[in-house]
Amino acid sequence: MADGSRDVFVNCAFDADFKPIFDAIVFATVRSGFRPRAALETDDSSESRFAKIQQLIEECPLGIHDISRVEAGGTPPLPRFNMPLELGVFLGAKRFGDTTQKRKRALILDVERYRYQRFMSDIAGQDIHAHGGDPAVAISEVANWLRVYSSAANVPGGKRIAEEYALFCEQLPARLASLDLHPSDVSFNDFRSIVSVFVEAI
Amino acid sequence: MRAHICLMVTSAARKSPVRKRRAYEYLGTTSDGVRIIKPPRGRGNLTDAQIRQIVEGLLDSTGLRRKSEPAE
Repeated sequence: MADGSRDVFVNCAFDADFKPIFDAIVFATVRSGFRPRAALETDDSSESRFAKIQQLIEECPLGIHDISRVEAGGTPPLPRFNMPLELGVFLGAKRFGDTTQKRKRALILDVERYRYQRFMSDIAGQDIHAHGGDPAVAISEVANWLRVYSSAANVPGGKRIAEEYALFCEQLPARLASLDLHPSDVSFNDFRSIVSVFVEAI
Repeated sequence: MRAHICLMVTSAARKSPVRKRRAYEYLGTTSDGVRIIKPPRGRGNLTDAQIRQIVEGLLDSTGLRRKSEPAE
């Protein structure tokens, strides 16, 4: 893999509706022996968000891009294009970057496998994977994809990781409540730390 | 000779700058042999002690706590 890095850029929506899928992707990435990274990991307001994203993309040889949240919303209803934009930057780095950047690999996820043809037909020919909005399926897709890039022989399959994740999710709110915390108090960095320490002990 | 030197210079100039291999700190290894990367410290809202307390509770309540030594 490119310069031995195990950093995975997670390009997803961060809103509450999408959180179950985002958290599932983070869990599967850690469980597979990689380090998930997202724009949420820095809160330095002096740096532009897009500059942060570009730096993350440069540093990550692998990218998981979920383009499923493009529905129109708001008044007037407009689609969300951040994820397709960041996918474009990632593919551009792979196309025009140096030797390291050219080794980038991407997993593109959507709700349905061929839906992207209606809003992003230029990426036709890419292998798009569907999760159907189901965190367990997203975990399976991520785990199966990352296994190819893992040097560990014993990385578990998606089904087992999904079972572990279901138990984790079932118990996490109560564990947080015992410390007077609500899930919304847990930042991306906190969640990644909790998952990492938890997974290391199983 | 001059052409030969030119070729050598061009070849050297084409080489990418030397990149340092990323050095990770690892938290440890799971029971099935997966090495888990230590996440960066000090960038969240929770203290290390709170994270450890949450995880200890999770390991007990999920029943997933490792019972055997990590696989090599």
